[in-house]
Amino acid sequence: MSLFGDTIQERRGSRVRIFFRGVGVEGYTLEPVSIALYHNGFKVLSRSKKLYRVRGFYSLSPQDRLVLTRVGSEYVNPCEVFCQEGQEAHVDLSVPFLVKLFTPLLDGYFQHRRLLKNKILWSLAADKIKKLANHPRIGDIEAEKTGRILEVKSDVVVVGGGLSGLVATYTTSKLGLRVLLIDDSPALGGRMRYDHMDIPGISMPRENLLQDLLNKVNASGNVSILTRTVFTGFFEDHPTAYSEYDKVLYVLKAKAYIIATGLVDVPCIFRNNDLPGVFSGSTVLEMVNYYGVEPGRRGLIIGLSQNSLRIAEQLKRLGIDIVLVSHSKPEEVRYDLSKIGEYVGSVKEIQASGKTCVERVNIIHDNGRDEVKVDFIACSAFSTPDVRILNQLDSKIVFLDNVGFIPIHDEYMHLKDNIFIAGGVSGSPYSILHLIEGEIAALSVAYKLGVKDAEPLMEEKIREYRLKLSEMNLEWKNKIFEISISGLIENTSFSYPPTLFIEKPRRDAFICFCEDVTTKDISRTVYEKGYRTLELVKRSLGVCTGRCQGRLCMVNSALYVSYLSNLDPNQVGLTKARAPTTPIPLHVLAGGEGG
Amino acid sequence: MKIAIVGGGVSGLSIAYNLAVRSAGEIHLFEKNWIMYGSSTRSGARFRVHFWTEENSRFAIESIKRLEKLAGKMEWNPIIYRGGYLWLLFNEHQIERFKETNKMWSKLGVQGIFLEPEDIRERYPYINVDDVLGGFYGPQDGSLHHDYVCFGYYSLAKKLGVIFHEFTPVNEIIVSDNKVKQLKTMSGLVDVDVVVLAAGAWTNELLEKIGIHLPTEPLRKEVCLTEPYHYFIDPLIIDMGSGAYVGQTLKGEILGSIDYPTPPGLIKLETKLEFVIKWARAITKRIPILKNARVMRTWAGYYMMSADNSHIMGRGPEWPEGLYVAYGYSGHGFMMAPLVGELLAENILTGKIPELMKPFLPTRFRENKLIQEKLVIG
Repeated sequence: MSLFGDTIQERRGSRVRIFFRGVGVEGYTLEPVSIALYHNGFKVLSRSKKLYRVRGFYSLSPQDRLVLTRVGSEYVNPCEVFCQEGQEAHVDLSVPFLVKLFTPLLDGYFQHRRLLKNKILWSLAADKIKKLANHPRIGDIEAEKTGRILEVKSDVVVVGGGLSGLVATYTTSKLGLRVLLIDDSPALGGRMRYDHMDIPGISMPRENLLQDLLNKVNASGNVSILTRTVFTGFFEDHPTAYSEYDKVLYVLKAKAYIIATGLVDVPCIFRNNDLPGVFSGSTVLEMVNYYGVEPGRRGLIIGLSQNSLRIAEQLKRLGIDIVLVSHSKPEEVRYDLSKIGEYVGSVKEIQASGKTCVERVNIIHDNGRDEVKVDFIACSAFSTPDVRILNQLDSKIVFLDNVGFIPIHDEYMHLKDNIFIAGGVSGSPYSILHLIEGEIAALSVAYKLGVKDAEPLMEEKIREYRLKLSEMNLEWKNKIFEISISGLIENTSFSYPPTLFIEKPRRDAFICFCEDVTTKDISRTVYEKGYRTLELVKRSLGVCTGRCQGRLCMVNSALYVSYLSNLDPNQVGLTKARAPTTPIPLHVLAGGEGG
Repeated sequence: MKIAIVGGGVSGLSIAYNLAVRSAGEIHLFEKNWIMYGSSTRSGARFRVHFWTEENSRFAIESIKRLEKLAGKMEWNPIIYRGGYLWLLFNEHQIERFKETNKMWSKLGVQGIFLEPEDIRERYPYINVDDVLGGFYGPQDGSLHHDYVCFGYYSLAKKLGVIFHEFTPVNEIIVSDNKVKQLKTMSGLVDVDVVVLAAGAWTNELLEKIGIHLPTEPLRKEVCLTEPYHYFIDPLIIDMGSGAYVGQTLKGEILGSIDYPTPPGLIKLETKLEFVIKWARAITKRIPILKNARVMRTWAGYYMMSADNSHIMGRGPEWPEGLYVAYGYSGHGFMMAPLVGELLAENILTGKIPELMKPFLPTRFRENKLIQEKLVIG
């Protein structure tokens, strides 16, 4: 029934030889450079901006951009560029002398030290400091390419080709609407692409379901598909999408938008959580099940979410040893974990260590301390809706305890104006709901666009949806629907960030990887400076302003500030996101006149 | 004396600090959102001392000096960096204008340097000077960290006992016997003796309710920011041909904008793709190496434009007693606010009008003594 036994998926594409710092290694044409390098033991892909710490990739999403590696003459996201014969990748591993010298002083408040506020010393220091950050040199980049701008018209744009996005696409197209489906991955399917276990509540096996949806979408004459394309968000005049692969900026003209961007696995906060070998949970699955590359032989999985258990089970079946850790006390765990792996509960602190990648983990828990040797760590304690696009639109995002930050929408999956949402981005935790939401969003769009017969179908789906929600005891979903009408947000209690695995603020536990912001920095901001809204924390430290634009750090920093200051996360708030969600080269923006 | 400042941007914060340091009494600052929400956080974070008019140049020179001096006292380093401004000039008229004005600037001690296209090429090899006739370089100009300047004032003011009311919009100023009496805020009425309106683009809403009209209007300005790159652009480069400007922050991001027609008023703070494209075209022509730089973020903020592109501070003689304004900076808030705070505090406490402040009084519009500042960037 399932595609996998005990053997790993084959690598994708044909074999090529690429070079890393002059050493020839094997790669495959349909896999990203980062994967090929990782497989060959080259895990350090960059050094961090301020502290020059070694960094690898955390996820394969083109939108995360945590590391930029020089491939050929250009700095690129190595998770976005596929291997090509003869390609040369290079990472500069040297650390400037001044950085080495001042590393103990380098933190979020480095520039505010008394010494540096002296007018004369500052002007001398500024000349040095401005050149010390580890950024790509624009001068090394050949500036000869020209991108293009293309206009694309459709009735509906669906953003995200996972379960709900595919269902929404198929359903809208079946009603006679022209649909443009955009996905940032190399292929459609979202999580179904690499999570090989069946979906609870759906009788059809996972691979049949995916194939069936893809067939329907492909067979429809009404659907255009753009993969490897990021929906870059809503400018005032036009929504846009950008394909790094084709160097094309798409100017979208549609009557309605369905946002189905799914969930992001939030990084866990522990000591040395920036070491290469620390991945998002889903990325680990994508590596083994889609690209056929093992993340390691023995791994630590953080969290006891559905996501964690599915990852653990699939890795175990491939013969990879697993240690599961979480905050939960062992006696409270309702699952039988014995088949999956070792479980360490009541965890208070996790300390990863290793020279250039994860080698060991110290786990401090209620009953003492364990040291385990692992070569990778998967963060799957908590996933959050990828709300950056909705956040650009000023839509209300509310924190509910034990759930997370959820965008306010009604049961018609309507967000505002002509924007609809479906699937994980709406906060729904189960795939079966994503499927129904995809249909509802599609029918609501059709109804809004005046398609005959959409209304009864929509009402029927809503009834089914309500039933499912009450079956699953998802009371909080109803609360969200109520807020969408009343606009009233209740205070919520909040105890402990689900991703937090340190006992006190640490200089080596990172929250923002782009700007090297640590838990220690944030605690100073909260305690010494007294800043308790995320907007102010952002402005004092730079969280959410780096290349990932808050995709990985926004929720963690909001929850950490809430935790430190004992505030309702709704008071701390999130920060406003702005277009574009992923950076667009100027040669593309300056490019052709459309077509 | 009970003083209320309306607006928690750089202007209000500087006034609050300057009043507090002079032990002015009980000082309350009302901000409708978080501190420095509004135009302060949306700033391009540059300062210059080169204005067409002597009044503005003189004011800016003194103002930046104040901020530099204060840096030692602030908890936050304002990251003042004199990277210079470089104006690229395209015709004789522009060159003539700068040459003429440079006489005034020399007198004030901020003489600039004229560059031939070859000089520009030598100093800034990344600039395309094919169609450039010359350049004017102002080494005294530079950049600052807008957030840290605000935070700096905020923490100083807080230590000195200023009471901050964040998330507290002020709806109305209540006047009786031609005296300000109370502020109507979201959390109730507050008795006051003095009100300073420093609410930037939102100031007119309050002024007009008490029948005061000053020729000002908010103008939305949009900005593009790229991913960070290794630092290489020292000056802020202003292309007087296309109206584009571009500079690099010390953090490495390249920030710029271009003249882009937008109707005045409190229109939504969003950016247009058309604007981004216009900037991209102009700037990749001027600095071709930027073609591979990537636009990471765009945002918009208001310039609160006054009729003569210069700030308004102080009060009109016929106004209700105790009412002062400090707004209409026309995009020059961070450059002027440090001195505005100081002079206005003196004015409020002593009743005397300091010499430097005189040209900027609100009465100038009625008396037709406009400053006629035409050098506005962005």
